Amino acid sequence: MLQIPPLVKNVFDSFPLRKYGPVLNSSDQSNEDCICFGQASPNAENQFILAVNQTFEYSINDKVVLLPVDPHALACTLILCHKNKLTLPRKCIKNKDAKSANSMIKVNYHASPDKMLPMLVENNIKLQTREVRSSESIKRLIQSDNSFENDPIAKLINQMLDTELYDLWILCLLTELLPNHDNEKLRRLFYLDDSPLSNDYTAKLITRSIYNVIPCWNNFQVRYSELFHESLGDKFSWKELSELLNVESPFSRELRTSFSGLYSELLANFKRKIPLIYKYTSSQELTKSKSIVALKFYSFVIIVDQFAAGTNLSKSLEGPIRETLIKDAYEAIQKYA
Amino acid sequence: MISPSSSLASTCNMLDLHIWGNGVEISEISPESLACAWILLLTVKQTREDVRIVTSCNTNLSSSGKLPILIETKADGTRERYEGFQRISEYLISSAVDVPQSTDFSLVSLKDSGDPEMELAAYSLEAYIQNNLYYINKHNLYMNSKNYEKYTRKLFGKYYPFPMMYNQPLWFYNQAQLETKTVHLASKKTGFLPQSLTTGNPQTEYFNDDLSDYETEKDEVALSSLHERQILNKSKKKEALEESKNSLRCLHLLGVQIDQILQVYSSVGSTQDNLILPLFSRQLSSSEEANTHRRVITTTEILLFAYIDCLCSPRLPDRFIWRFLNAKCPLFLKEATEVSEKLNALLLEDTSLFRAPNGGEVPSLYNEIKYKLGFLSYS
Repeated sequence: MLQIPPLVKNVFDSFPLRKYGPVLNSSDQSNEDCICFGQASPNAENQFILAVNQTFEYSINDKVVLLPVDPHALACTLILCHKNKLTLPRKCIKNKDAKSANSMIKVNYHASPDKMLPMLVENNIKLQTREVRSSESIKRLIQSDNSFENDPIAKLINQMLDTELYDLWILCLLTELLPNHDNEKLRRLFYLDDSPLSNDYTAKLITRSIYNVIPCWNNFQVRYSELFHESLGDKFSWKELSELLNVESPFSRELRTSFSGLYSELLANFKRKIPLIYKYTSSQELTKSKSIVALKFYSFVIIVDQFAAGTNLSKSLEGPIRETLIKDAYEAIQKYA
Repeated sequence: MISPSSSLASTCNMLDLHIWGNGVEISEISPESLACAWILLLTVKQTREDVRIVTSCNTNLSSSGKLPILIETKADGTRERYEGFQRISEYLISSAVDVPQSTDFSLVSLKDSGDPEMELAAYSLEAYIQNNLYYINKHNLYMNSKNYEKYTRKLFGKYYPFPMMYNQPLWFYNQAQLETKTVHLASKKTGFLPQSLTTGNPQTEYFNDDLSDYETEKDEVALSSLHERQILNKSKKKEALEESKNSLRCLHLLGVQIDQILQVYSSVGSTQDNLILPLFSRQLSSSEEANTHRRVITTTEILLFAYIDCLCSPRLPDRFIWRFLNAKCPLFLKEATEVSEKLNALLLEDTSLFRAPNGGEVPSLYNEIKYKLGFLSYS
């Protein structure tokens, strides 16, 4: 038998052959404070997860519910509650509340293939299938599912709200809510890691990437491509050179002025429509499709009231009906508490 | 700072509607321009002298980069600007009081109807047209290579002075490509020149890019001139196939949209015995005497007919949309064509209504450079 040289044997013997303890399943820990929709009778066959940007706490009759921070995600939450007879999502501990199958999670927008949130993940437990719906497909599903076919006017209004409210929200974010380097505000609106925000430089990078992603939402950049038409002038305008060196937002000054031009144009249009939409949605008999339109409008009003205080968007709501409109909007969501 | 039309500011309250077009011809590339011109014709043109339609094609004039734009120059030289179809139409209607009833049309505003639901429906329909038929128009003018190469591209030569007409059609083409992609209407590869410029991949010949089917042809070199012709023919065929696929998709999309619009027509009580009546006519019949023979028309309908007119323009070499609509909804198309023909004839009755751009309004290279350097301001 071959003798192993002692040197080699020593090396191999001293090599640490240690057994490591089992790694704890970390997914259990993250689920500890998940956000779940309340449900009267659990439906075991289907469950969904709604992925949103960020949530905020809102208390209705001493119950604290968590609501998404952007209008279309909130509308989506309300419509899900409305259709499936659920109550608004609350923080809960998974092991305790075993019956809450449907949940909402906060994710970064990078999680979505088209960088747009909300996303809806539908699990069918029986068939063991999972379907991920993008924002676009959620929009289409809502439209095809709520007897809009019988009411062409409601369908038109729904389609109009889908684009116009989204555009207004995007423009409000780009021109008014984000440009102030306010990390606190950024954190309220987006689900971000804390560590990069503590550093000024990385915080700027993050702001920049958010700036770049927002125009992709709802094809905004393609639809208003005239605004993004980057020309030589954006780079070599002598008058703006000094300002360029001291840049505060990644868009050029020209772009920002045209943003605000479009913004004020859309606001002027929207201002005229508010009383009309309000009258339409607050009429006595709400049909199936009308109530969807109403939920979309109310969730927009709530988000504007919560996050856009002092902006032009919030000012556009001003008028004789403001008080009752906001009251009605909050009352509409109280039904789902 | 040079003001583009400072010489004109002395006359009181000039109204200039800047649109896409050339001379007295309003361009198909912007149905909103046509719609605004029609509304202007039915409103302030009837009461005021100092109204002009300027076929300037200068998008720098508007802050949103889009035409049409209505500029009102007041007596003291200040300017009020109205951009986009909604704001222009609203301003024109509100500023037109006591329009003499001489034309065949009476333009009515739904705001007087006192029905908030109908008013909202009208706004929504306008938004629907601008968000949906818009893409069909883009496909028709740019993605349909027959129309683009034989018609649309040449139009820009008329609209822009040398050398501005080289860049613009390419930009519009690329734009249309991106836009039609969002409604799943664009193929991976269409046309040959503009695409090659954007990808930075110079390509002067048609070539076979569908490698999955013919993998052996990947490195195929033409062995003879005959062989080369064969390869070229094959790839041309493929391109035609791809394009007709997109055209069919486009027609399907248009069909769905027209169906929805006709549904709105019938739901607001406008179809009777297979007759297309003016949109929202029931809501408005009380305000209009029944025995006048003038056609009641709303701004929403004007926008819709302007789009239909541009889609079915007889100047286009490939009128596949016209053929489709003619087969699908002949009554609606007939109504739309009749109305738009009448309106177009009215527009051309008085050619002094049109004026060519002057001074800083001309989209020339000199003005563009001045604008970019900040020596020329339109606001």
